[in-house]
Amino acid sequence: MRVQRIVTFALWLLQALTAAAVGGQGDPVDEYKLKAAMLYNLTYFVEWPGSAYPNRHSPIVLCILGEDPLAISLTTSIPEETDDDRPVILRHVQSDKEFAGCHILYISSSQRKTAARIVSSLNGSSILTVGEMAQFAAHGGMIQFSLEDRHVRFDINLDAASRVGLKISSKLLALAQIVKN
Amino acid sequence: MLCPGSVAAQQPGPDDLGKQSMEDLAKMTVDSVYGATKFLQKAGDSATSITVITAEEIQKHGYQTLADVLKGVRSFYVINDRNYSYVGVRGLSLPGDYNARILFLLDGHRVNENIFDGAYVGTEFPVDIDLIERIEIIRGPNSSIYGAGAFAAVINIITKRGRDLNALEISADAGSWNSYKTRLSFGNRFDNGLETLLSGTFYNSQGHKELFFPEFDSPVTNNGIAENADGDQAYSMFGDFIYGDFNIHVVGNSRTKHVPTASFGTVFDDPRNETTDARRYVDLQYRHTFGSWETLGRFSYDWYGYHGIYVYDYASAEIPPYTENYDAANGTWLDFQGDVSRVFFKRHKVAFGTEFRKDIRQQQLNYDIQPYYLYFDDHLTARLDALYVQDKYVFYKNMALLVGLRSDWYRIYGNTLSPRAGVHFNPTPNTDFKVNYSSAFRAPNDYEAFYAGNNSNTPNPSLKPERIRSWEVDADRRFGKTYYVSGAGFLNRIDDLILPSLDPLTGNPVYTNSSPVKTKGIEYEVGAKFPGGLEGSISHTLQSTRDVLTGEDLVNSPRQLAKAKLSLPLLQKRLFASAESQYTSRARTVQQTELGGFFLVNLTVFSRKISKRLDLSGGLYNLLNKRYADTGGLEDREVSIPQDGRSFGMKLTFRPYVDSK
Repeated sequence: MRVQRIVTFALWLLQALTAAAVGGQGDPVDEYKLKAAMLYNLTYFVEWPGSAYPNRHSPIVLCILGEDPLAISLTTSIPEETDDDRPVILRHVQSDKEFAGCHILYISSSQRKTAARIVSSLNGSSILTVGEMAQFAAHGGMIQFSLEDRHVRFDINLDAASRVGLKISSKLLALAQIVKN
Repeated sequence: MLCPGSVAAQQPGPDDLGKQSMEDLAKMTVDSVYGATKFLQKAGDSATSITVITAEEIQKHGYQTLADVLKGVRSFYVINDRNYSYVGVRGLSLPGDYNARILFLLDGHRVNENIFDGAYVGTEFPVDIDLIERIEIIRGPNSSIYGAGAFAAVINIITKRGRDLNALEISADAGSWNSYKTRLSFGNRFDNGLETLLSGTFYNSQGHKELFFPEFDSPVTNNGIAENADGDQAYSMFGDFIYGDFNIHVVGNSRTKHVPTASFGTVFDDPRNETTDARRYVDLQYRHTFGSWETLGRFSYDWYGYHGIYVYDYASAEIPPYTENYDAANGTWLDFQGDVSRVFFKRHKVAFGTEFRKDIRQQQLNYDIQPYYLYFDDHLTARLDALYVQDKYVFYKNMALLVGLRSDWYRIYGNTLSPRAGVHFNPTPNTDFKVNYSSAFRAPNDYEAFYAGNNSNTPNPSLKPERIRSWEVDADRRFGKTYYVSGAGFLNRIDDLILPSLDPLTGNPVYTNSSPVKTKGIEYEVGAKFPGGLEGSISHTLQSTRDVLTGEDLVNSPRQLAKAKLSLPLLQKRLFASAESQYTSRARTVQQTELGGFFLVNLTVFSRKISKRLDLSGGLYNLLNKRYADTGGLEDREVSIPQDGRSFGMKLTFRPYVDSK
């Protein structure tokens, strides 16, 4: 009898209490698929200086330097086109001589020893540098992915980006943490 | 408490993720299951009734051990004889079986040892509960994939990975009866790809200063009061290294418990009565996907050691200091497993594999320390070879046929086949129906068949494996992302159940294959998880497990179990208040009396990041201070073992390196 009463009360409680629908978390997703999706999503929030795109339908060139799990995920999850009808082209690069024409440069964690040097060698070209190695943003990288509490976070080095003429939408800044050099 | 079974629990593909907005992507949680473990959930596709408990739930409800977690799971119940905790599921829980009928896996590695088939789920479990990422509980027999011992359930405990910790983590627990625990953990994923998690835990509890047992209420035995006889000390170490496709686990623990119940005819209220169980292993895994072939190879080396001090008054003269008897067991074994999985012709998901196990050592030892007298020193070795195959054939767009078979060949028992067959039907993406038949077995363990002790047990080398045949129907339905309803009906028949009874000639316990047992039951669960963090569930199980010949209920088989859980987020998801209640109906004891049913309530308050670097939680267990007892075993003079009244526990976790990248 007592059990029945408790059960009824609990059911009532479940019904009575409502929660604000803030948007569910759903099932967990693969970390690198998520980071790759976020990286491709970045293109909507970054404006390259006018000279970077000769015309509206020029492709966005994503260059990948080195290899790590995110690089592999980027290669396998390349989207057909971005929202404004711009295709994304993937290019694997081996050295800084091949950076010309890149819009985004993803520097894999395998290059951690030379990352700081690579970033400084870019020297004024409007390339958005992205990485996930430790201290990437602090050493001049523009966007650094990290994992915090089971969520993917990204740090933005706003100085480094604006110095080369890249404009980052405030919507993205709201979702990220800003880092100084 | 999450979604049961496989109701549309698919990961969004890369295209789906690409269509999400940045805000939504930022809210998603990253899958913390090591890739191979998804494959290690070999039974995941075929499994019938599953419950998943996450680390978050463990924190919110203040579970201190695996036993606490299982007490809240549908159709599970746990008893404790103040030495070990014994887990029962769907009416099957035989006192003293050391959980031999449930297969416990730690990241896919078999925890059950090779002497008692035991897995120890209280403070004696090899891994600290804080390191657990999630627990996958599969009710029902599963020998068609896992082999021997997956008799009543399979419980897979998955640990966290280095990246889930912010470098260093220090945790301190305190609780009733002077219980303390400290843990130091380090976890990191390095840029070169190496990921590691290292952890050490130390636990000490003084236990009850006084425990009263009416069966010993006489002036000679301290009027039934066992003083300072409930102490518990344990330490455990855990190391996990991931590099590329390789994963190495190094696990070790040891736990000593003082035994206050004067079990096995020992002297009452003598503080020297104690048992120690220790477990160690190294496990190396390699996984790789070759094209469309998923493969997993695992090689491990295991050791189990038990020893106990049993104080006997052989002369029955009641004159101290009595005789200390040393009882021990040592087991070492090597195990190799290879698993392959692949989809053929788009419709057949096939998994097959092999296992080789070599028991290098199975030693049971018993002698009196002073004056020295050796009673028993038995050494055995054993070998197991196994092969299994399983096919999930999607023969129509939302219907699948599942067939599986495993063959286990023991040097002693020869060949045992464990088949499984079932039909799965998904009328809508959120609905799941399954009908399943499976057969599983458990081979007699070293202790049941061969142990003689100090002439305390009669061995029975002619024991045969016990077998369970199970028919089950499962239905799961999810409503949106929030509500779920789940239910199952099951019919089990157990043959040759290995039970202890008293040998009429010697009065000693002896294990024999007993008469058939039939179980029939239904279980159902309803729950909800709201986006804001509010979640709750209620489950109820109704079953009867009876000896076919006598018509009597089995020992320790309560006909009804009910569980309710509720978790309320307060303060913007940083503070949670959770409540839990469990009802267990009455059950028969080993001595043929009946124990009353009982109703327990637990309350926990948990604060995540009360300050940036601190988590804090506090809980009150058995809030209503209900006095209840669990059945003893044949080795206990006590009819029942009284359990704890109201108690409290607190935990503080400190992460000094949060937010420094």
